[in-house]
Amino acid sequence: MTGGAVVEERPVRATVTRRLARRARRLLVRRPGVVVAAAVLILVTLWALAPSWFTDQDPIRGTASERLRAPNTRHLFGTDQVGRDIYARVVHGAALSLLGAMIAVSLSLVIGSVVGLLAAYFGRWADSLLMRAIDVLLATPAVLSALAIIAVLGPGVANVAVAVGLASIAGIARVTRATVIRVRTASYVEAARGCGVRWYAVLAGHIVPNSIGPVLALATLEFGGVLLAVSALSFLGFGAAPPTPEWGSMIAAGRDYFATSWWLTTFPGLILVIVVLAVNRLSRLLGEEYEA
Amino acid sequence: MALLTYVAQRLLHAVVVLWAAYTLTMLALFVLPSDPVTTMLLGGANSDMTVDRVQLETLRHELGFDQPLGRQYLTLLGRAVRGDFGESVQTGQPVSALLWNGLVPTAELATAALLIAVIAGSAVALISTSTRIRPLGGLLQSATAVGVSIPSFWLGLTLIELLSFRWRLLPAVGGRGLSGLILPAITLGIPAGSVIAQVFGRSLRSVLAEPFIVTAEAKGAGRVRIQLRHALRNAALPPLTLAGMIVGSLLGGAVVVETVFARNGLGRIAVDAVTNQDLPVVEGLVLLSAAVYVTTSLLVDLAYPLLDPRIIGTRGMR
Repeated sequence: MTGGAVVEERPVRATVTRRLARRARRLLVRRPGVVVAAAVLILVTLWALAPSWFTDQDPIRGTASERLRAPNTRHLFGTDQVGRDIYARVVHGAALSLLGAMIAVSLSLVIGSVVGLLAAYFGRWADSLLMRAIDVLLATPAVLSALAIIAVLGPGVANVAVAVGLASIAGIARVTRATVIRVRTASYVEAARGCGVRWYAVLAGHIVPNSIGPVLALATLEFGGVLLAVSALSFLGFGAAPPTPEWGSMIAAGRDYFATSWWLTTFPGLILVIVVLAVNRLSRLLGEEYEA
Repeated sequence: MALLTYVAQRLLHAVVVLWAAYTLTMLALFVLPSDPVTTMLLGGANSDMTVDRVQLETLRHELGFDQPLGRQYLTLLGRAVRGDFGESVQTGQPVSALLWNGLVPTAELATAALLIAVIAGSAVALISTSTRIRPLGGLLQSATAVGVSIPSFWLGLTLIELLSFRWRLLPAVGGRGLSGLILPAITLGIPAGSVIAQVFGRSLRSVLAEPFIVTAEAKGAGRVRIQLRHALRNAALPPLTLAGMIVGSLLGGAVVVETVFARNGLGRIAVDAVTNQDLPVVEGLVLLSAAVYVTTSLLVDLAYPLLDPRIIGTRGMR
């Protein structure tokens, strides 16, 4: 009996691997954009985790004799006003820029989904109260609400991340609410309730697992926008303090020299655009998965 | 009767959102660790002078900060309804006057950007959905994807670099009149225009797949006629719902664009106020932007029934 089971398992596993391989191949051929986007994100994540694999130059201390050099073979992206290698600074800056966006997205994901879940599950006055608060967040542009929060918390990388995270709760909360309302009335939830399952067990065992997909898809989509918002606030001078490399503040620092040295602002900005494009491309794929 | 109920509902919703915005910002002020009166005496948050205790208490009493929170809130709400949002901590100028001065240049910028965004965005959407040249459609779609991924501060700097420094076509910063408005308006308009192009394009594509378009084609209508006469009106609703958000995002974008182009306006006021923790001004700005959003959404809601009369019959469409 046991032998029979083993014999039967093999072909099943083989088809699964073959199917996966076929899917991967189809992805490569039909969606080259997705593959490029994934590669970009893997590279940038590696920049953030292990910058020393990609450059051996110092991102903080420069060489005085090599100030404001145009891009050349030794300095791929050129050097800045104190002779620091721009490429090294972009690579080292990935950590802070991505970390800020990660903190912001996680915060908005956690708070937004809890607010949406509570509003949808309890309904009535909890729903109207929470949703009016979300309406207010929706009514003020994210940059401005983030600025208002920074005015209260003070500047700094962590505060900028928290501010952007709080300012972008609205979208997550609304999607969570809509999804949970749809799931809540499903027959399996009614069945669980009818069997006498406690409300928190229904919530954790049935509602959360069934509504988390679209919310996560939206969170990836928000990552790109949040990365832009965090760098914009850094650019305005509320983020990383000067010697620390960070994409937004690098662009701000390059402003003073960019009439003569275009590479100071162009390269960090270009990398930022490429990363945001890659994130948006992948999140669109995720969105399609959920609609299919 | 249905129309009247609809209008009343939308109006009430607008007022509730504004009131909630005011209350939320006030709440944020009350839980604030730093004391507004101390900040006021120091003339900004970044001063290292010390404050005389007696002076502090006198001023606190004069300003009503020693009153119970409930009464403070009601007094301030009453003033806000009459358009009085207190004074700037830095300059002592009334917040409403300060914001009024900044509103004009920012409104100019935002209107110009909105024009660019609506015209360019709709044109891209219409062309990319109707063109027979497939690469052109694909190119336009990728362009909108790039447009929403570009940080506006970097776009502005790059435009200055190319158009002002390299080709000397337009003034870089501070230019008065129309020539000084072009670059900032383009910078602000491109992200908004890309959003419009994406939403409108998606909506056009789904309308163009509808049976009534096939009927029109069968009756011999040309591409242009189908796009403009049959598809446009039916596809206009989704992008119109975004109007409030887009106008709001223009205000938010103005913060960055005004800094890049060294223009005066609400954006500059916002950055200054946040740097110096000038909370009454920040609060006024939040309320102003909420008011702009609410007004735009209200206007759109009121214009909705003109485009689609079926909306009035259905309750609670949001």
